[in-house]
Amino acid sequence: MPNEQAWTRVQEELAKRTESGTVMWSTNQFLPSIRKNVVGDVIYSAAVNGRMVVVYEYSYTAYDVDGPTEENDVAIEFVDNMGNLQWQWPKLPYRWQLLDAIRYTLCGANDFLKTFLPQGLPSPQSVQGA
Amino acid sequence: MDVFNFIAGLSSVVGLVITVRVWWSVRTIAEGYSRQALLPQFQRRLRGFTKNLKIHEQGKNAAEIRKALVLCRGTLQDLVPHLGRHGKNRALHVMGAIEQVLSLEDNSALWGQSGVIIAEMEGLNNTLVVLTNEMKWRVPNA
Repeated sequence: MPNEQAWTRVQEELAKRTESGTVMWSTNQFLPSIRKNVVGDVIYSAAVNGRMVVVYEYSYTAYDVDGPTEENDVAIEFVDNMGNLQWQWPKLPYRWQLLDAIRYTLCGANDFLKTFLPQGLPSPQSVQGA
Repeated sequence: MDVFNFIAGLSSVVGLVITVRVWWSVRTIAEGYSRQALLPQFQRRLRGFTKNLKIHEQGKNAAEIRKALVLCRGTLQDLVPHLGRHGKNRALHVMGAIEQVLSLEDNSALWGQSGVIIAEMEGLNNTLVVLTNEMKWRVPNA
């Protein structure tokens, strides 16, 4: 039985390890063909503790009192070697943070900061004092 | 004089009966048209909210499952006054089932009982189809 607290911690930890570079993600080109409504046709995959994990943003039609609207959400899944779904992780708040961390590291935003600001990143104190 | 009073009294009673009957017929017809106008709205909403439930149940999104259940419950509450006794009982039964699922405080329990929730939702869907069909059936006979 899925445990909400445990999976919240897992997603939080995965986001942290992604930011620190301990978990390396890559984009997978063939996986979007077997998933519906993937935003940007990009699916991120990584091997974590011997398991293949994929993360992607997708859109779906939600219904409200006023009628249908388009919404986006993030899916995190265990998949097999062929990319077939094995188990979908529960939707918890850290899923968005994880996706953001993956995109941040993959696009090299940190390297951009280092090159754009050659004197180094401002410390939190100097930012507060400014 | 007695005959005149009798006829006058009888006329008053007949007039009252006719007035009540006309009022009743107009009211019944108006209710029928009102139901006919409301039916598509309720159908669309309930179908949509049930789709939400299925999507979020598959996606293990407890927060959105609760949100969809609340929307379903609210729509059923609005629907109940427009239903007959049988339809009303079914709607109240579904609302009771929704209350049970909503009373699960732990989201993990909500996921854990996903099989039960699927069954509830399928039951809800079937009931909604029956309810809307009943409404269609009732309007022409109103």
